[in-house]
Amino acid sequence: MRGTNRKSDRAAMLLVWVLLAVASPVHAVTVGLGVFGGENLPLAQEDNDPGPQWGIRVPVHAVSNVTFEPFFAIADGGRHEETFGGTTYDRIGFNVLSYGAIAAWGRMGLGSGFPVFPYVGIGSYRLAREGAEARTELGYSAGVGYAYALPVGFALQARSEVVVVPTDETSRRFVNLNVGVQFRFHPVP
Amino acid sequence: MRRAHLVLSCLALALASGACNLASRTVIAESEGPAAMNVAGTLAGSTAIGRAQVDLNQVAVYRNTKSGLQAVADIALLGSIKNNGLTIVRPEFFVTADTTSFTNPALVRTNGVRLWGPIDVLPSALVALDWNKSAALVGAGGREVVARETTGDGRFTIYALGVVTGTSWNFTVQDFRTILILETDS
Repeated sequence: MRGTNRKSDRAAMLLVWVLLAVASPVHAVTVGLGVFGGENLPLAQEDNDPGPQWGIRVPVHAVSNVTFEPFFAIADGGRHEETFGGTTYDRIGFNVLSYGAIAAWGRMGLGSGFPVFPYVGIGSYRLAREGAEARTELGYSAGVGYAYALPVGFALQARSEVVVVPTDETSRRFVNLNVGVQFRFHPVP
Repeated sequence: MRRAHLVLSCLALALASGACNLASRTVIAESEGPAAMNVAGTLAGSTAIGRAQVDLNQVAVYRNTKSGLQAVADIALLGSIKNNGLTIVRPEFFVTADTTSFTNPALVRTNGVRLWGPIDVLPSALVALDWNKSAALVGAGGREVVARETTGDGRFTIYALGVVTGTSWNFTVQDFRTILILETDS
């Protein structure tokens, strides 16, 4: 398992660096820094309940119409309650630690433009819970966001995304709903 | 612009490769055991061992998902353990493949694999098993047996035994149940 985890980590990091390398600047580079928080909703998982999610992200606009954004996020699954034989038990949900990058179609609030942006992403997802061996897998995401520009470089964002984390023959899937605020640094020529 | 299309195409392909698991889900299967299993013994030998013959085919959740069953994600033993004696007892659970009827702890230890525990239960104490802590007490060998039997014919047997800590032991496992979290694509 540990070997698989390291392989998955390396693959995720490699992909992140490839994405950033391919995005070598053809225009001035605009960089932002954002924080976000929201809800992590497990899909088709009877043993895992919704919980909070938060993280940071660094959007980099370097390619026309496309913005790349490395991210780091933590989500806590809620305690799932179940009654067996008249007694109620609870199973703690997954703690999901993830990092990776997304590629979005649009400027994501880093400049003027259409406020809605679809995106896809890839990253390393570590799923851990008490009483189970933690596992780290390569995961994929797709979503749509909305950016509302504020004065002096700030922007508000709202996003919804689906995350798929393949686990051998099956997968763990989540919907993330979050809002965040981001600050745009001055473009680097 | 061409480069951007290339990047997005690569990511879309990667996303599609992960999408083959989109039909899967996790479900919770509960197998109810005996209402009470008394386990007792002395240094001279065991006088009673607990036994729960598990047939998952009697569990509706298991029957409904068996055709697409892919893995067992989580195992826990629930219920409570009452120490009937005046010394600390150390209950543990073993598992054998298929339905067995051993009455001797030595045979259980020889033919089975430790599934869970042990834990200490103080004199006259009643310990309610916690789902999270119970899952953490499941050993790798026992987990493998349960997973193999679950994806196989769904039959295995769990035994409650006492580890010798003094001159005698006497405890009761109450409301025993086996809880499995199954990963299935049906």
